[in-house]
Amino acid sequence: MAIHILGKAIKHNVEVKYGLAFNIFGVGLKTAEQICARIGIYPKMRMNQLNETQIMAINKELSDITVEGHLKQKVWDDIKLKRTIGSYAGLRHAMGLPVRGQKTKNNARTAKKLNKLERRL
Amino acid sequence: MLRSVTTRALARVPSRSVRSLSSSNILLAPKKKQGAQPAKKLKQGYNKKKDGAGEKKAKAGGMTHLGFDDAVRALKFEKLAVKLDSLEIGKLQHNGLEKLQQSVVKYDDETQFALFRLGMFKKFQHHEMFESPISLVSNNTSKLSNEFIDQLDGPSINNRVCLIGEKGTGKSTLLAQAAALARSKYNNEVILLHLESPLKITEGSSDYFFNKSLTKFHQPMFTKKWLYKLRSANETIFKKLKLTRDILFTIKKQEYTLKKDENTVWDLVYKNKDFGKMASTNAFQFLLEELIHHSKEVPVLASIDDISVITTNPNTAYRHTDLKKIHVSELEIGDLILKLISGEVSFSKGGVLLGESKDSGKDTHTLRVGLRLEQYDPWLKAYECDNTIANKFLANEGVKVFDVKNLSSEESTELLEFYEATGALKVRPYPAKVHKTLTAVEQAEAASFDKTLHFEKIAKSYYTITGGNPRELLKSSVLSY
Repeated sequence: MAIHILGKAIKHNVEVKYGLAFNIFGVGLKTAEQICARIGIYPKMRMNQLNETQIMAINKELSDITVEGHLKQKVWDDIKLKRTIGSYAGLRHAMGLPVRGQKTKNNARTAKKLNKLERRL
Repeated sequence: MLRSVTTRALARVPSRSVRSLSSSNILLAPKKKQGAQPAKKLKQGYNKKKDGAGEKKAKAGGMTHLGFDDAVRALKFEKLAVKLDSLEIGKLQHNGLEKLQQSVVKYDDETQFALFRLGMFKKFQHHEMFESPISLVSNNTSKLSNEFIDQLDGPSINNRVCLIGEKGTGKSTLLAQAAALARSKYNNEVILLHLESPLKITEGSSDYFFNKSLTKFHQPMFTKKWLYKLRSANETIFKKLKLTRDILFTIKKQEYTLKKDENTVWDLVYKNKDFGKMASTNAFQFLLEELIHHSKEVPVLASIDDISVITTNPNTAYRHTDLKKIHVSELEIGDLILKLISGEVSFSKGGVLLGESKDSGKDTHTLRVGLRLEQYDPWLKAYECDNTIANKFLANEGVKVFDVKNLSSEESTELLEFYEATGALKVRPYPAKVHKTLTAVEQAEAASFDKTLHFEKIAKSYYTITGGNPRELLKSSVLSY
């Protein structure tokens, strides 16, 4: 049985903070802990122990921060902006090469795999 | 040539065989009956309904799903152990403790149940090796009896003791012995408030709720569970203590009143469900005040094991809304522990017994500064020495130190004799499988094997290896093969 938060199915027996951090794009452990602390969820609480009110409160907290699709769109827009203004970083993104000065004689596999104008996220 | 042989062989094989490396199975198979109906195709699906579908199959499970540490407790191996009645061992009693000196004892049945419920018999103590929990009456026991149990008639503010000592020296066992001795001294008319480990309040496994009237965090799940243990261990005495004030509480929207001099403390802890409610409640404080009031007649022994959990890491896993960690003193039970240590909460008759733990990870200066074993260094960082907690230990003339010593040579021999009698220690010439060629001396020894001499040799050797540490003695005996 999965618990649904922001339309994402999260496994029922994981601790809430890990469930949020590992399943929602844009939420790391620190943000997850912050959300739990604000709502008053105890540290070892598991997903299946959440009640309706708490799930709604988590959804509300998440809606206040940029996560998932909105965050992905923001990243793509930022890359696109760099390309539009003709910056070097934008060029490197477009070429599918490392952006931050890494060497390209060998390897650079991750950059070649991910760096595009519509970056894989 | 090869091609012609293959073609001939294939010609013999019936047409239904396709691509088989060996045709013998097919050739030997019985012939299909003429006019036989083809086998009915089975319906495929998850929800198969057969005749007698209601009958449940007996589940063939393994022995347990638990890991080794929990499995040895859950599988009840103690039922297979040697019966202690045949060994005629005594029961731990306060009267005549001198006679029991240097002997292995068991606990009174009622006391054993109470100690078991309070969690005084811990994991890794190898209780599964014996029919019931046992302990040795050592010099430590008699010393603690003189220094602590005999002072239970006085106020607990003057009777605060912390057991310290190396790992496995018997601090937790001494706590259990103290509880048993107190029960024996007062004919079971003593209240035991035992907390097996403060880790249960700091690790974040209970829900928490800010009680505005108390200005402390209430932990309903933990409080409820702890209260179950307390009421189970103190049932007889709680039923005798009358309430000193009226109390009104609600269960399922219905109001109940417990009246003073009519209802008992047992009624309070049994009927009142406010202890586990996620709401501002003073139920626990009410109970504490009742116990303080009754401590004029009935002594209260508050014991806390693994106190190093608090001294090493006073910041709990719980967090404020601004993500700051909640200090143990901000929790309702944590605050109670610190007040007991400092003497702010004092029972007219009773004592506070603390046990150090060597398993709580990093070692900080807090406990040693609090017990005046070390000079306070103002340059120490907050995480190296927590002043709030150290000051609690130092308040009201401070907590006394009780250094738990290892067993003497005679005591360890006595203990090993008991292990030998129960079969926990095997005394035999050599292991069943000899992996080496025996020397001439060893062969001669094996031929003329004297069990008594061999036991003496083992006892001396184990004492030398372990230095009289009970944990190591037991490990050497139980885990050797």
